[in-house]
Amino acid sequence: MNLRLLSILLVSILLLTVIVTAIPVRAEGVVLRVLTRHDTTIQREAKNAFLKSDLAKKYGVTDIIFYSALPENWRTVIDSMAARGQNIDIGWGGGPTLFDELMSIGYLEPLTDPELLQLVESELPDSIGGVPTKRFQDGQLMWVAAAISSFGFTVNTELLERYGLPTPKHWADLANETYALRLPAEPLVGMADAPRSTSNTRMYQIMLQAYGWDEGWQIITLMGANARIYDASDAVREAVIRGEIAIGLTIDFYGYTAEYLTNGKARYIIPEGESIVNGDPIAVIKGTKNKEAAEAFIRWVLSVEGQKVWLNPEINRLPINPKVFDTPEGQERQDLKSAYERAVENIGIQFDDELARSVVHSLRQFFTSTITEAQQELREAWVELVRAKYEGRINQAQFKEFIRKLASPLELKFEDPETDETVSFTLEYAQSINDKFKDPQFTSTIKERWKEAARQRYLSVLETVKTITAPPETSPTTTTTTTTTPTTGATTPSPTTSTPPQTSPTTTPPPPPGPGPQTLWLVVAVIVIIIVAAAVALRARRGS
Amino acid sequence: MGLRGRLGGLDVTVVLQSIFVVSMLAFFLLIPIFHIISKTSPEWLANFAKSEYFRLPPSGSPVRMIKPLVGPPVMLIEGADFGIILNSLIVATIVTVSTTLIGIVLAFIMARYEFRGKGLFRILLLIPMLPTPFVNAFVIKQWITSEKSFINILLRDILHLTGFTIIIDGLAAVALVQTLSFFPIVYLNVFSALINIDPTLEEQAENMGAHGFKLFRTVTLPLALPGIASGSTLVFIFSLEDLGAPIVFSSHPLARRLISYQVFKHFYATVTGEVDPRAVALSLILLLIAVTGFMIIKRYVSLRGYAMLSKGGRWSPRVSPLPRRWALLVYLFMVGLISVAALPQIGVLYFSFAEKFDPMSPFPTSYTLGNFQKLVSDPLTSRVIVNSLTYSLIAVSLIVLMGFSSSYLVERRKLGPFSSVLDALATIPIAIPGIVVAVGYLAMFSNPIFASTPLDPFLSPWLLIALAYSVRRLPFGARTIYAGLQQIHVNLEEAAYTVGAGRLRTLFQIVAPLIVANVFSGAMLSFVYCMAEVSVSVTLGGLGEASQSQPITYHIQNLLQREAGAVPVASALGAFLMTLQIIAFIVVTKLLKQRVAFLGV
Repeated sequence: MNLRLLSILLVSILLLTVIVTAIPVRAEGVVLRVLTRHDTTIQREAKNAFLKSDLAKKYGVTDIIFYSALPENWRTVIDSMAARGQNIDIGWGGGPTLFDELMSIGYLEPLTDPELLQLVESELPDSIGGVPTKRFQDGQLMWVAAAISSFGFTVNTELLERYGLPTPKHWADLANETYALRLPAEPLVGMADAPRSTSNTRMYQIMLQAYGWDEGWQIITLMGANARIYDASDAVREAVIRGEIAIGLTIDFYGYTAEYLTNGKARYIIPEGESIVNGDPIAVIKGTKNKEAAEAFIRWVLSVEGQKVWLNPEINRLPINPKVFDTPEGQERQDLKSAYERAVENIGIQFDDELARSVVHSLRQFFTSTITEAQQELREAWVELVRAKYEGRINQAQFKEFIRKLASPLELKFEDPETDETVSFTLEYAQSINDKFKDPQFTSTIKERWKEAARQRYLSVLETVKTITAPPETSPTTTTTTTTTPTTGATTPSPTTSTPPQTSPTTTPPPPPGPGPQTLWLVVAVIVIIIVAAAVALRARRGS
Repeated sequence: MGLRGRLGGLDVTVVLQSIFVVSMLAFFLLIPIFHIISKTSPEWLANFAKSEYFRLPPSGSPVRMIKPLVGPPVMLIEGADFGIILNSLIVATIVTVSTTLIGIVLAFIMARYEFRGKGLFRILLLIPMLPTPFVNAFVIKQWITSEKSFINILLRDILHLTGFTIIIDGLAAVALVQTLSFFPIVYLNVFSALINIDPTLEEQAENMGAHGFKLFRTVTLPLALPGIASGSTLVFIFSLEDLGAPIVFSSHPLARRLISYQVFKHFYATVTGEVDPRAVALSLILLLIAVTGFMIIKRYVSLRGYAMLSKGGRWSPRVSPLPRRWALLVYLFMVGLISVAALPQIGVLYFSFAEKFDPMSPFPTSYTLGNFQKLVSDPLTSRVIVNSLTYSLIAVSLIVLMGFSSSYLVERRKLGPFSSVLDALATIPIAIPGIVVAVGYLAMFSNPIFASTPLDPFLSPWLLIALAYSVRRLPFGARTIYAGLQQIHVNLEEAAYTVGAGRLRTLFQIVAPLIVANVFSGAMLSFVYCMAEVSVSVTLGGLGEASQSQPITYHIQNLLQREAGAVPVASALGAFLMTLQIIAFIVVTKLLKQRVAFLGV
């Protein structure tokens, strides 16, 4: 073979590929850029349907490009796309908190198109289940909900029956020790890491408002001890369907899809009186170069035509525009219609959107630092605690007290990165630092401190519970999961550790385990490594 | 020009080639890595003293019998928590040791014994080495982690061998997946080392009275040591940098306690333009561990290298019929190993035809060919295939240019110390974990001076991914080209010079045509490895989510982790990658007319 030919071929392939990938396809008409949290199924269906519509033709829209990003990164994506002259036109999906946040920092453009306003005014409800579905600022419409959803959990009934476990009815049930009984072998609950899922973050916000800051965090933390923590909310639903977990936190339409895919073996449950109906917004992003076309797209999404996208059996979302149920396609989805009615009638808690927004970054980072990243220690402590209770080593009062020590945000003491003062994670504190997470230095410092403080308190609860040994007559000779030290053999709980004291919130936490044994082990490890390295080196030298 | 060139002095071609290779590797390997070192803040290293990173004594025990408060007893195999850094080190060590043991035994049987069905086994052994990133771990997960998993149905419900449930999860599951996917690397290296051992050496030993295990221990094993060492070094580094298994098992807290996962997670969490100090510090640690492991093994081997008495000849290898008393054991071992190790690939193929799954069971209920159709019809899926093909083609073109240049310079132009520097440069990417490269790129190219250029990772990481591929896979291509060049006698080139051909002309008209088969094979192999690359693809590729420039492996990960019912499509992508590898394997074997030592993923 002629090599010159081959090399020319190679070089031209190289050049060609560079050219093909470097030059973006310049479409003739308007290209809309939509930043979204919706999955690719929704993206695909919406794009195909919209591009065929008359509205798209009228405004010359020839393509829609969807961009997805984690909620924390929306701002960066909007900024960086604008810096490159490829401004994002529309934001779609991701929940009210995300859009309220964008609105508060001036990233949303008011909706002004008269025909759009007319549609919003005449066809869409102003509020559903007491929750507003349109947001105004200075009298101007900033975002509109394009779909609604409720929040709850999907249970795998077969798995619950296998172990004879009850079906949960409330959020708090998921934190109950009932679902810890298969631990550490089989976690039965599933949830998504807060920074990775807007829907799960919403549920944590709901729990914090339904139960209050202190109890809410205790529930979330214990739920985390019970749970497998996934990287995305979709993964939670998949795990319920597969039977990897028995209960998973899901937004309603994931639940309906799960019911549909399993022929009813999976069931979606709305916690009684503890959920809310959420409007999932759509809005125009500030800086758009195609405002008219963007508003035309929004008009289409809210119209009966556009709302049909939600009815797709692979999507199953509840439409904002109830008129869609009157169409032939809507008539076929009686199941979705009844789900819609179920959600609208569900009178849940009075939810404060502004309060939720004011702590959203704190919530996400605190969750991931103290639960996801310290889950190993959290679970060790929780398993030990549950065993102690079931083996009768501690009574109900002690159990409650230990839970408070383990999971209350007020009990977690750490140093503030800026003042170095010892503080605890109160609601006020969470609000005060919510805006500081823009600073990467602050973020990484406080996350590291949270994680370390959380790990230390989990370990200290674990150590304390371990020292409370069972009364001899009730020890059922189960092999305890962790290396219990039977050396102490104390039959009576030592008063310093186990009596539930009426601790005021200001009592100093138990001192973290001293650096003594830790350092010792480290030194031993280093010595071993040095000896091994020396041995290898010596052997090698002898070999030569 | 001709005369000057022949004398090996500096001429334009040599200078250009050197500048090209050195600057590519400097800009896209060395400087990014120095960025990691310079950006590591000392305070962060102090954090590593915490028990999160070194947890001694460890918590938990690797295997334990548990009687949960409800339900049947469970044998839980999940590993103990030694802290993030030690966990990585321990998992890598366990995987290296177990793959090395399996690999040596397997290679010895295959190289030294003749038995019925050997040809079949040889072909079957190729199955476990087909790369199916993420999907293989996902398949294994279905079979080991739940109450109703495949092993429990088989061992407990059908065979009644165990009265309890077995659950393998966490670090143990990661180590299992890695062992199953990496042992062929050791096997192939040891196999080729064994058949290259000069038989006279073993015959002499036999004459002097060494037999059986003594012969193996004192003669055969030391002679095969270079092969064993290069295989196990690769496994050690692959295990350290592996992201596939930790990500798939990441719903278990212990699987998250690995350096590679932590870097991935924190890489991801900070797509804001700033590199996370923790990711940087951890990748420095990862780099140190990998390079140290690499050096120790390299040094150990090079000092113990034994010269072959007659090098280069093709002798008939010592093959003897399998002793009868061993036959049963050997067959059991081979069948057991192959059926376990090929399960993921078989599962991927099986799932790629699945339409619907029976909930609560690992088995599909209906089948379809539609998943393969989706590879073309689904816009995002076809987009990632095009992306990966593009990146891999760019990378392969660069690898061929770099590999050819560096091999030629090292083998033909004896440039003194520069030769060994060049040789080291072309080899060193093996020892550098992919996520370290990715973190280095982010640290370097997130600098504002690259903003809005094609190198800006936040605009679209496509160029960076392609460059990372080319640097990471360079050793695999360069090695094949170098081997070809060694076989061409320098006289042929000198003949060309004497009749007046210039350096460039000789290179293109004499040298290149002679090694075109090697170049093509090297290109083919690197291409397949680029297509299946994981660590850079899922880290840098994640930055491109907004620009849709993610490669196949990123998309597979996304499908498995995030999308509803997307397992069949992910499996179809896995099957696509397997097909590519099989084609590459056949083409290369035909071209080079000999078995090629596949190095693995």
